[in-house]
Order: sequence, then C-alpha cells, then structure tokens
Amino acid sequence: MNIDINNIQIGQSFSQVVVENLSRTQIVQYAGVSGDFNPLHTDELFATEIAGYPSTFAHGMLGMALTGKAISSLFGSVNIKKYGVRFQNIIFPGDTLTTTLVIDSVETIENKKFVKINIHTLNQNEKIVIKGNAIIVNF
Amino acid sequence: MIINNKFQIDASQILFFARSIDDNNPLYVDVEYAKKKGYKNIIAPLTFIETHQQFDPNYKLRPNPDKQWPGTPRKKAEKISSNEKNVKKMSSRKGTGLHAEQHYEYHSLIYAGDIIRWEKGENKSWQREGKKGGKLIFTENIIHFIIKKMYLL
Repeated sequence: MNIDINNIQIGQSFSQVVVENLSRTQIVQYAGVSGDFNPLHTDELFATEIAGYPSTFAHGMLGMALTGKAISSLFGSVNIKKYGVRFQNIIFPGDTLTTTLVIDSVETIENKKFVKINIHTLNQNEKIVIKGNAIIVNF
Repeated sequence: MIINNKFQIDASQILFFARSIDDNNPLYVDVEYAKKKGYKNIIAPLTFIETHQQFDPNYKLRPNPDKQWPGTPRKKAEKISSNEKNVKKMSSRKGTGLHAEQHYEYHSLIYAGDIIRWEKGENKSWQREGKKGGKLIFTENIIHFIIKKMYLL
C-alpha cells in the first residue's frame, strides 16, 4: 500500500498509465487466461466482416482489470471492499489508457475508515472507456 | 478440475493473469515475498475470479466443436447442421450480448490453493426502448463465490 489512508484529502486525485499502445497480443493473452474466446476480441475477419466493427477490440473485463491495477497498486488488494465499473466505450488495439482515482468521501465508522473513490479511465483521445467506483477500508 | 461448480485457484493461472494485464506486483508471483509481507500465499489480482468461466462446463464463449460458435465458416456450419436456419445462426454474429457493467464485493482475499465454489444467484431481466429506437434487453447475473478450503501448495 503506497498511500496512507489516514492522510488523504477529499478531492485528491491519482493518475496512472495502465497500458500503453495496447497490443493485440495482450488481448489474446487475456482471452487465453480468462477463457472468454468471443471472436470479436481476437478474430479480425470476424470482427470486421461479420460483426461490422472497425477492428477487434479488448474485452471490457481487460479494461476493468487494467483499471484495477491502478487501485490495488495504490491502496493494496486487501483493503478493497467494493469495485464496480460501467463499460462506457470500446477499447481498441493501440489505445493508451490512463486511470484517474479521485477521493470522493472519507467516513469513519467504529474506528474503521471507509474511503469512496471515483474512477475513470480515459484513452489517448480523452474519451472515457471505463467509469466506476470503489470502497477502500482500513482497519 | 471441474466438480459441481468448484475449482482450485492455480498459482500458474494467477501468473498468466498478472502477465495478461502487465501487472508486475510480486504478491501475484513470489510466494516468499508474499509470506514476508504477511500473506499466507500468493494472492490473486482484483478481477481474477473472472477466470472461473474456464471451469464452467456450459460457458458459451468457449468454442465447442459440436455447438454453434459465432462466425463458424459456412462450409463447416453446413457439415454440423443441414438445417438452413441453424447454419445461418452459426455463421452470423448473433448469440452474444454486450457486457455493460461489472461489480465486485469482496469478503476475503483469494489465495493460490483455495478451492472456490460458485453459486448463481437470481437473474433479473428488464427491457427498455433504446434512444435510437429498438429494444434494449438487460440481464443481471449475480454469482456468489465461496472459499471452501485452503490447501497449502
């Protein structure tokens, strides 16, 4: 845990590049490990000629996992109680994604500190691809 | 290992998952480091549990030679079925939805070696008119993951 939860301020924000120039290979790696072999993510002919997309694209869950990397590296997995996202836009090969976490609220209940953070991940064109929030608890 | 919706968290799979998201946190790969930091074993990344679908015998997004698979070449589809309707279905884009949201609520860390059982909760479904016309059908799937037993590897 790199951030001292006792010394954070509401409105404070943290940004991190979670992937640079996302490769098709990385999407294939994610398909292999997650088991989601939807050809939209890995089969260019299927994605373009049958499904009508400009190219293959990343699993939404790959975007969520990349975004999650920013949360766990800052707050530590053990402290994360909730993590939810909405997939706002498609993540394409070649994208560079930056995740920003903003401290939304801090509450102390029975000596435990509950921190709510708002999350958004933008691509290189400043388009939101993932939006969500998380609850961090420290004991 | 597939027995009644159970699977064992495999350290190798955690390694492959961490690689697929380019996360070099040693907690995911280095047992000695994890123990030094006070953990029982290496831990799984936040969304790792998604890999449970590898162990779901009925998971739809994994090719099965005997079943319909989106984008099956027409010639192959004709070999599998002589029914024109089925052939069209197999070679079309139909059969998958769009994943709109995902939410996790964590009750415990997941360690390599854990046996996890999953239970599907109630599925809710609703629909509304799309902004550009047409009907949007939403389905909510809730899954509870329960750690059955910890085995030290």
